Amino acid sequence: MSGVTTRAASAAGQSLTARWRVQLDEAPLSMRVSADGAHVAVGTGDGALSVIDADRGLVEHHWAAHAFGTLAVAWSPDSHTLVSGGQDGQVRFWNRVPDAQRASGAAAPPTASRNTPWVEHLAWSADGLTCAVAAGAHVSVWSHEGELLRRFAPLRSTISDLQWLPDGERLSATGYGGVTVWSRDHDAPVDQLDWKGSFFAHAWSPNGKWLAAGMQESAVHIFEIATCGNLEMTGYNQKVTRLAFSSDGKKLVTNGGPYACVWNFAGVGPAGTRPVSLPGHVLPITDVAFYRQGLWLVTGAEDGQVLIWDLTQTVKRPIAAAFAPSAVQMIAWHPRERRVFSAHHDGWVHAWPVIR
Amino acid sequence: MTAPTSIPDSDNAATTDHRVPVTVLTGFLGSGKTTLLNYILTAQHGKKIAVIENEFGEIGIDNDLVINADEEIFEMNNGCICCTVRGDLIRILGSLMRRRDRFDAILIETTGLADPAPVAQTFFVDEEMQTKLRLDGIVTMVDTKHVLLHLDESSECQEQIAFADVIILNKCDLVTSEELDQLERRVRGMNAVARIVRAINAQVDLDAVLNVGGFDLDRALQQRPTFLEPEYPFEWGGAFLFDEGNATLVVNDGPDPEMTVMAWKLANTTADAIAEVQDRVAVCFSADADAVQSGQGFTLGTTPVSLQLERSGEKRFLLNLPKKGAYGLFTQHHPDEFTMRVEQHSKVLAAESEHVFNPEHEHDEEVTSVGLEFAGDFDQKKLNTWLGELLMTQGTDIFRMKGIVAIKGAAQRFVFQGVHMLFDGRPDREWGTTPRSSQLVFIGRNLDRQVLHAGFHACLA
Repeated sequence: MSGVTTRAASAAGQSLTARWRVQLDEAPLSMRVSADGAHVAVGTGDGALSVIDADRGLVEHHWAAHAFGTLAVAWSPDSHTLVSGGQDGQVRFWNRVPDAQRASGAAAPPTASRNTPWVEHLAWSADGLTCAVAAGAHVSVWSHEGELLRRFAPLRSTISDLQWLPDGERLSATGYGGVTVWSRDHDAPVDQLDWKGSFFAHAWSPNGKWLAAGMQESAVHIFEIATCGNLEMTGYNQKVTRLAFSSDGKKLVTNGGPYACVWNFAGVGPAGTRPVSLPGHVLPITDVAFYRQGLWLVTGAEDGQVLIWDLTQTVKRPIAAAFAPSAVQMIAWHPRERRVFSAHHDGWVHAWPVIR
Repeated sequence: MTAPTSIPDSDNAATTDHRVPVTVLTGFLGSGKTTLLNYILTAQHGKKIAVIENEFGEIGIDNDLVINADEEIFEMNNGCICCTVRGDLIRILGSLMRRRDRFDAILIETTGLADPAPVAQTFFVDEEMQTKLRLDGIVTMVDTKHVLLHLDESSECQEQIAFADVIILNKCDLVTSEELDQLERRVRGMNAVARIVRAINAQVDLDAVLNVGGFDLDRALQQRPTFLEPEYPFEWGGAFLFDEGNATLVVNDGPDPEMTVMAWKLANTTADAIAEVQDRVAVCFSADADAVQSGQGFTLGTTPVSLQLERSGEKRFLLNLPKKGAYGLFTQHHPDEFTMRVEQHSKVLAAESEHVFNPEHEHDEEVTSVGLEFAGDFDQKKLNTWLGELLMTQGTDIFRMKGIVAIKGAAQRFVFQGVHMLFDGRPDREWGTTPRSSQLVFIGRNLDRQVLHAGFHACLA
């Protein structure tokens, strides 16, 4: 697949050319780039898990990982272990080399209606010792080896997102009615942030002072941890399902319609400020991501466009754009290079080098 | 918006809608939902169907997909409107929409006691759902044998019937045809627009379930066009030419111990003269009536009188007329039911013209339907204000609302539908040569036809 080029049609900025592209059999439902930047793992709607060489675009492994769909994938920080979760309720640990499944287990007990909850969220702790797993209303912590270490008491509703706090010791889950925080060493939650509403994704500022969460009610809710303060940022067209902090913690970007929305967290925070909106997409944004360092941002949308933004610039125009004829489902940066990976509804995965 | 602007009929319009149709299946445990699901999944219809179940059943066929879900009800606060939605459906349907393989239809089965409102409301409040999915209809399965036990005391049962676009009377073989007719009349009294299908062992025409078009008002109204004829609190109106003085209403034994009547001045004795005053009479007719005994008199006025008929035999009531002229006499029941006659100067007078009205449905049901029809155009601003006010104050009692409305200055029809306080409207095809006339249907609890009629009437341009 390497060497395939696609001319990107763009309205503004540099038009990107694909370094490679790969077509998978079903729609990608999850995508992660390994920390060493060597591989892209993609889970698809047919339950497969594909590992793609990030430089050349070759599919190195293609595992039939789950029944129905592979909803979540996560690389261990050392890039050796890959974890997948699926609509069959299973969590599976894979060695990249040698090519083999190492361990697997049910992520949650069946519910009262004998329903097996889907495994929708996976998150490795930064030290690489544990991987947190969310399935239905259950959060569990698994060892690097794939052994179940701890299962927390279920929440009242299905978990919509799972993250480690910046301290690397605690983890947080959002659902209906708020955020629950656990330490990986205790069964009982260590904190509970209640708020009436239905939360989707959430993001911690790198200094741990702020927690931002996207809401079904077309809003972003912001918890100020030290003061127990609550800010509700409204005015969105649609529900907010994706959000990300910049590495310096000064900017928060969210979706919630075709325009990405950037909140300023410098100084005292966003209270009373107006966000900057980034016009460019024509259909709702499906994913957003900041580059590892600095203020480069990528947005992907249902219109198939991948837009790159430099938020240090005052002109609110994308600096580069790529286009594929199918909705973007996930987007990710390469950890070291200015290269973006986009996964599309029609099964194509693209690698777009961004050169300035 | 995706609404077509110049497509001549709704069938064509439907084919341009690429959203995946969703059917919601409600009904009490044991009503036959699982049998119906199995029947749908095994029938040769060539469709690829995804089923979302809330009650675990061991089904699932090659091409189709069965997902088990646990009902999660979320309360949502959007501005001043508060409603409940199904969080599990948003998540599961969102996941289905991200897959590449497309389903021809999605079927959602609710638990037996589920309130259909959160399911329906999910499709109104979530933009992603609205752009990718189309709520095609709500199908309610009824166990004919047992429903009469639930109908009176179970609000869930009443709501499931009120919300339905299709009501399947299942297990028809277990009751007599008289019981079935009686049940159908009761169900019809609650929900006047649903299609009622009789079934044995859940065997129905699949188009009744998978291609309901329940949120397509044109089709919904095709089911029962007479429903929109206004209902009146009186069954009969006659025009008489009276002299000054007393006329006598001679009433014999009949089915009721009393009957409400009103007399009204008419311009002349034609049917048109009756039609001219009938709405004003209807408004007054619902007020508390003064009782009048046999031998007593009454006169014209804006309050009705209640003729007391308990005593058997002939009863005579005197109508005092201020001057010679044309008068209308409006009676709660048809005069024939009481072998009633009108006399003056000892001679029997026949009505010069008369009209038999569509009587109000039996209002012993708490849940009822009201259909309204208006000729002419609405003032958009007035209509918005009134609808907003109505939904704010009565939204919890209004289960379903559908309408096609003519707005002054708009070439296109405005179609809308609502569930409780949520409301979704959009311009539809052009009126063209069809007369600009608006139709509205409400299904709910404690609905007052006169108030609704008066409210909308005031919004006419």
